[in-house]
Amino acid sequence: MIEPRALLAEAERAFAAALTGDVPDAGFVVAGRTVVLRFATAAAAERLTPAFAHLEPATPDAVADLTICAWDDASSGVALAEPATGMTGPGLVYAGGPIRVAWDIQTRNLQALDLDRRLAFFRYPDLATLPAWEEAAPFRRILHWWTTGLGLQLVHGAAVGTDDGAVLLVGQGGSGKSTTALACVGSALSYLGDDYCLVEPGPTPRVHAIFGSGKADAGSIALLPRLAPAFRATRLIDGPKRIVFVHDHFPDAFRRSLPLRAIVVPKIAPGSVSRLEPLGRAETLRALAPSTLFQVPGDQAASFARMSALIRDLSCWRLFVGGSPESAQPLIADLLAGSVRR
Amino acid sequence: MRHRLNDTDVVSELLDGEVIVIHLHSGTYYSMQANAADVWTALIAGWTVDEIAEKIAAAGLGERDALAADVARFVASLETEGLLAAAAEDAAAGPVEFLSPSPWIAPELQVYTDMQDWMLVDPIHEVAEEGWPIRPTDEK
Repeated sequence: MIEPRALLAEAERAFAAALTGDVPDAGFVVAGRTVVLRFATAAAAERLTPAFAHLEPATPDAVADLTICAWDDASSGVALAEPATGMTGPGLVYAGGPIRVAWDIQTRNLQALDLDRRLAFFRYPDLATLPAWEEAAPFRRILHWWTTGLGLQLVHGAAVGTDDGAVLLVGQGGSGKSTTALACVGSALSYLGDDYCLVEPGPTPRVHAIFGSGKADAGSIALLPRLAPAFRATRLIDGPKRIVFVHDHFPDAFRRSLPLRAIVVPKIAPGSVSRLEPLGRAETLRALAPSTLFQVPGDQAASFARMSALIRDLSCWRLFVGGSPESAQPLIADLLAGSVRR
Repeated sequence: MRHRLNDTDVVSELLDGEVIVIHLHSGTYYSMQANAADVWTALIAGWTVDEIAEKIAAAGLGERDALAADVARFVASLETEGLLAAAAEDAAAGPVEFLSPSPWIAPELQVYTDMQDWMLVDPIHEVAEEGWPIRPTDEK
């Protein structure tokens, strides 16, 4: 039997042994909370901080709402006593009381969180094997565990907006949400993310940027002239998709947080004209909830309830994206300005 | 027999007359509209097949036995998908408002499996307090 709390304790032991103190803490503010990133080695910091470069940096004297300790065995020279599951499946997770532990059998990545101590551990055996998708959205599972405890919801979706607020673009791969969002980079619309965003429910819900990466395949890159050079030059490749850190190329494109005004489900459509149509709430929930629940697992019943409540409170739209994704931008701006009515 | 939602594995929501159900462990999700949404709502409120058929027959939407057969087939499909659990023997049925207009159309379960690939990429075996069992590598 592998006891999850013992694994958490082993993670704490290994990180303490690996920590040299030579690498300064990094940190960022998201949804008004401070996250401190503590690295055992400079190599880990170099790979796992760029995705947060667009966020407000934490001040040196800030009290951490969450501290994430990250390291790899290879560059630190400290080996984690790995759990010997004897299993071939992809992963194991434990959630009990304040403790969350996930062990990825394929990558041998350990993620553990103690909510009471606001302390998390993220370990890879060797940064050389760190997948590009992990670099694009580091600590995703830890951040979901932590934020769901705060009543926030990490969603699989993109967000763009204006001073009037933001829309959440949701849908499965190929729906056009990422391309529509990335096409806003460098335009009159601000960008908050193209794959994951953090939603804060409430009387006036808000959407917060969390990861600064953008992901696109060759077909989408061809539709993104402003970002295409960055995508072609990137070293981060995840299957058919290339990943860039948008902030590196368009630092002014981001908004870190906006009021959330509507949920939009894009669909690539024939023709050159984009258009908006009202969409039923159930269909919107089908576009948002399954992909979020299965890509951001953990506390799923509470997550589903939060997403359902959000959809009840916001207007929902189908965005038919025709021709250039740029053609959708005036429609989104008009929707946010209140000049499009159901 | 009375049922309830298999809330260990399943989440469900009724929005604008359509029910969305997600099986969290299989990666499959479902949609139920019109009569299917009504019957689902009644089932997870603890109504039996016969009680549902009687209610619909009383509204003049069909002959009771034929309605019961339609509902029973629907229940069988829900059980096959693992969406329902047996309610306690002494469970009482809660109030339900039937929303669908006539005519009666046999309830159907729409099944979506496009998220199952994600379950293969990032499936999670949730474990209890005592920890993760160590299993032989050839065991699925």
